[in-house]
Amino acid sequence: MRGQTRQGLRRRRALSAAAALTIGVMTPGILSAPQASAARQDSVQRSLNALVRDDGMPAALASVQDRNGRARTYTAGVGDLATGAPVPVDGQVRIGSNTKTFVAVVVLQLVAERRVDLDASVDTYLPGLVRGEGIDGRRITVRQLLQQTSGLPNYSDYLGDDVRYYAPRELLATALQHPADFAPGTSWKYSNTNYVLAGLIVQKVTGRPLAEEIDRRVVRPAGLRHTYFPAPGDASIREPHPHGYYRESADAPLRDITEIDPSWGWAAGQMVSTGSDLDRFLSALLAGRLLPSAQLAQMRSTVPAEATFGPGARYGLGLVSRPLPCGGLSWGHGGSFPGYETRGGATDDGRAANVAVTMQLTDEAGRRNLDRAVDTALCR
Amino acid sequence: MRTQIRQGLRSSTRQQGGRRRRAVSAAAAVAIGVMTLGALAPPAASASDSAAVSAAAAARPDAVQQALNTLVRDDGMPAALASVQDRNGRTHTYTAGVGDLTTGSKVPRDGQVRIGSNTKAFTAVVVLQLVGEGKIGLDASVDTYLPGLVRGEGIDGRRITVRQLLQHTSGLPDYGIHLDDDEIRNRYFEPRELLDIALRYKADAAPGTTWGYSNTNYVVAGLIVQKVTGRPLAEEMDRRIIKRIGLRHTYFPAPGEMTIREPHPQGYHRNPADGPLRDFTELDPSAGWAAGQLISTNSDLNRFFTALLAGHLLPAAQLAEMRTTVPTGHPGLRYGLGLTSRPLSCGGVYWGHGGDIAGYETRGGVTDDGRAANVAVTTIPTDEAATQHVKDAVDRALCG
Repeated sequence: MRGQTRQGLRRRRALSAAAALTIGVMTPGILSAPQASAARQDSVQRSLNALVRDDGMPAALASVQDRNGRARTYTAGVGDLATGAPVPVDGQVRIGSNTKTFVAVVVLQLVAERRVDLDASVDTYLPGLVRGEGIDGRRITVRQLLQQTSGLPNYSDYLGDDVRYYAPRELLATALQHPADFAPGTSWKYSNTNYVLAGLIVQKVTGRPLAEEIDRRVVRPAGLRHTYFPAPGDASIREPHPHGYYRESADAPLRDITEIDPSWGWAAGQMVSTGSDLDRFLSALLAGRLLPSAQLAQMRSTVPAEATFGPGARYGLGLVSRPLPCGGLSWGHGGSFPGYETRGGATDDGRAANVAVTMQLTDEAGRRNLDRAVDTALCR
Repeated sequence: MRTQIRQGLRSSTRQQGGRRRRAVSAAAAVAIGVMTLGALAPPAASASDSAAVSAAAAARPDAVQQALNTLVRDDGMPAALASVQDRNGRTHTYTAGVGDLTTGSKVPRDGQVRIGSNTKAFTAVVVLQLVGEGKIGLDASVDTYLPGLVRGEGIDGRRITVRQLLQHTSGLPDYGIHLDDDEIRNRYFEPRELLDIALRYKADAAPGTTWGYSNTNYVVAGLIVQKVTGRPLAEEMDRRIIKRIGLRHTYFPAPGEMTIREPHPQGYHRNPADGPLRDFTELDPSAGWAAGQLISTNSDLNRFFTALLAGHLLPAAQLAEMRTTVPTGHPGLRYGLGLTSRPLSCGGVYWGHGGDIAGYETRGGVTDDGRAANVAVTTIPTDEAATQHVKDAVDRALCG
């Protein structure tokens, strides 16, 4: 169970057949070797091709921004296995846990405005709400939520295959039925519950829906024109997008899981975006355009997080640092949501890259290859 | 405290304990900052203007038009709107007053309004459809669907039934009376927050012993709908009612949505009750949720209640449950399951609900022989006379 968790919006079990449609009409031709589009065979293109050819991803997409701000986009594979349609360039994908970075930015803006205190207790904002076996909101700080050091159990480990509409408080209630993983501040463990609580704090302090605050404070100021927080009940993806797929077991056929109610992700993983918008977001964040320097420094103060994010990875406040093979660090988060897996980051000198594949990755090799594709794009 | 019965998503504690005592003086009614004289001048004139273009227009305004004119002229309502459907299915719409006190613009015919607690009738229909589908038991406990959620002083979800929620006999305290209209105007509430507020207070009565209007009942009903269907309440309402019977001007505002989408008269509000009228059109309706969030028109409300009573929304068994009423302690008024019955001056009763939310009051309903009428005014009346005059307008429309 432990080995399964990566960027955490991962279900232990397969999604039920009811929630996913079997693709009846896959032609062998579509599944076989990907056409490397007409694009020049550079290193990024080659790594996307490998993700499709060797790791069996239906599609792979990348958006890369060099230190001069020039952007390039790449695709490999097919956008719709049923029709063989091409992959929309820079198409929208479900970005899963990258949502956490957006939520952390909103919380840290509120810290800068002195409306939230990073070291105040959760109970300061949500009195009496967080109680359970070994769980006490009076002993958990806002910082511990954002840093994943609260010890709160992860609700998404307990939702099973029930993909339905969840109100945020239902997600919290699910978590609170289980004992704490450890005492606050004594260890690090990735838990989506932390971010659901951070989202509830945003709503309590601002008196506005989380989606609205993310839109007003981050999406619009950063000019992210293809990024949004789906409304309750919205199971579709609004703009051109590759279909997302899912495989019940290793030898089962791929199922189309593009349409899914993302409410079980909420502040921990509900958003839809594109590779280019994620590049833009992370660049703006590191350049200090979304947070004052004091709060950005807090966000970049990291603790070890290798168990979840791989060798050398560290976790700040909704932000992950990973060492690059060409030296220096990339800052980002990554996300895994049924149908889509995204990895990426930005560097302090202005490079940025995000890569998406249209299936959740279930094996180490695939994840390594996706991380490697990001490294390739950032180290060219 | 029980003397007050408004179909209200009443919120201000100041309003509790009965109507606001102060009469609306003509002067108070016009105390809005930048009103042009034209807009303010003679309500009678604007009323007759409206009459001139109303479907029922004649040289002499008819009884409904006269009733709306009275609401504007004598009761200080900025605007009054009505939609009336006679037993042959012919519809007449009426307006009086002005749509916007600052510009003096006309009242949009059959404009959208916040329908407040009429939302409860929609929520009840969704619950009763689920009862018809065998997914909810009317006499099952709240805990069957929301285990452990409803607990408090004298409050136990294991002892409250779904029927008691819809009937307002649960004894659950009303969160609505603890909210101030100005404090909540821009405030987004998660539905569970509304329940949290209620559960800070002790039960008003033991379940099943007393009738007492409480918005909390409908928030819990909405949570049950979401739990049983696994879908957002707004989506279920839209799919099961609004789309099904073609209510093209009715919607459940999305989270954070503070505007009214289609042509509408501005809504005005006094808070405190003896304060000036202030434009309250834009507000966050999330404090209403399953108890009062919907936006609609008088004509759509007529369509809704007509379809409901004609059996187009519910199987006969569930419609019969909905129409099984209990006394409320208010003369003539009886409450079924999200449905009220009131006697008519011409005999018989009409079925509806009515609603109050800052900016708008709506009253109306349908008769068993197919007459339907809804009346809206663009501020909640703050005196007994005006409140009665809104109901009189409905009576006039249904008995005329």
